[in-house]
Amino acid sequence: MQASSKLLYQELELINLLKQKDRQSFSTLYDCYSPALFGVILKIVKIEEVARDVMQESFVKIWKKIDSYDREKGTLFTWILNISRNTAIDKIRSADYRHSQQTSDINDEVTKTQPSTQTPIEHIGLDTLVKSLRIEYQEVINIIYFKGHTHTEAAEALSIPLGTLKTRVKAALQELRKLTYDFG
Amino acid sequence: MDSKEYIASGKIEEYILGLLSPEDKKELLEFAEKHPEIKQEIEANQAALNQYANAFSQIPPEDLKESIMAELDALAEEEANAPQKRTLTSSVNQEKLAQNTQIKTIPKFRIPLIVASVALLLSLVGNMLLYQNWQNTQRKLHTALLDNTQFAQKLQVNQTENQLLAQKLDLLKNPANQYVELKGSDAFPESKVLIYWDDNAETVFLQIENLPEPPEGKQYQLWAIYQDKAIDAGVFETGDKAKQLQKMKAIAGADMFVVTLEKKGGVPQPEGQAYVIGKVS
Repeated sequence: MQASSKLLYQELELINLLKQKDRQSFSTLYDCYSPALFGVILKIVKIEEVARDVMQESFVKIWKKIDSYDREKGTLFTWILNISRNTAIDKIRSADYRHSQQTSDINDEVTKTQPSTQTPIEHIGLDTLVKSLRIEYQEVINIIYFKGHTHTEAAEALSIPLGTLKTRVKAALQELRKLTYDFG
Repeated sequence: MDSKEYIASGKIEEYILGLLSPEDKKELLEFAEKHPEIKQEIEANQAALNQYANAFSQIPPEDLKESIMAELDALAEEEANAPQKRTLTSSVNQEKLAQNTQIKTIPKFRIPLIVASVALLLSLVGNMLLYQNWQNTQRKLHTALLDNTQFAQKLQVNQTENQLLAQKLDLLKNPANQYVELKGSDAFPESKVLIYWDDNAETVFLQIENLPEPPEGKQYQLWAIYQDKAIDAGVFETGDKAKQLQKMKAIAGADMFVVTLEKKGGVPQPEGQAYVIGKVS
């Protein structure tokens, strides 16, 4: 309990400094969260060069929008994660990206089939978390969360009725909560 | 719709996955504002999804941070160079920002101050210790010097005594010398004077073993009694020189030696009281 309140204090302190556009605080933010953000961005855009650009754009957005961040509406990590995720999703929807994807489909396949040469820094437990989640739940989360598909798009892509999709989304998160509680 | 129905509806999961329409999102957040259990539910789902996202962590390329920080620096500079473009309302924010910056800079300013204070304190304590040490050393040195002086004095005394002993030894070793012990008279039984007399060389040496200090204007005088006549052998010093051998006047013949207390400088014939007397054997 004490440890978590200390973490909360540190987060509030960091937010305070970020809002003042303190340089060191952005450096700290990067050090703390860049692997998580880069991982999600890479998962979405798949190409490292694009992921770099998205990461850079995301930090510029964080820098510009930090004034509007409200701790009451969610944690700092949730906020910057959503900025990065949305920036990445916007990127894969852009004409530029679609055009480049057509010419680099082979590369994309390589990225998909071969494990990344970079080692994930997070615990094996989290890696196991993904593996422990039923594949149909992974699918539904990935298609919505990482591809930014709507209900209808997701249902179509997965070839399941809209009602089933909604039920599955809820079940997936409940399962995830249970698992994170176990791994947490 | 109550809390249970809201939780059962799946809207919370849809919200955190970004599926809700802006209207539904607004409604949910307003509802959560009034119902802590909804807020809690949102947070729990969000935390789980964050963990899931975190599971895909990848260390970004090393040079990426530098590139990002450089762009943020450029943005900061841009903002700092164009403050006049801001509207009147934002000047209030600027003021707030300035206040915040001030609040922020105080601890920054304090850190060196605290460091300096601690350093000064340590330095003062150090100086005090050094000063005490220095004083101790001074005291010890002073004591050592004093001791040294005392030793030197003692050495000198010893040397003098050695000389005296050597002289005495020489006198005693010389078979020509006669050793005469002058003992205290009835009035002064504690007094004692030693005489070394070489009758061939006619030399007389006197050493006081014990004699009271003479009063002001008086001095002891040695006499050789020879054939019932008193022959002046000279006056001698007392006090510091009391233990030294004092060379007296030459005496050719003596039956006994006597010391009397006379007026300073001596007299031709003894007048005063006899203190010590010794017969030549």
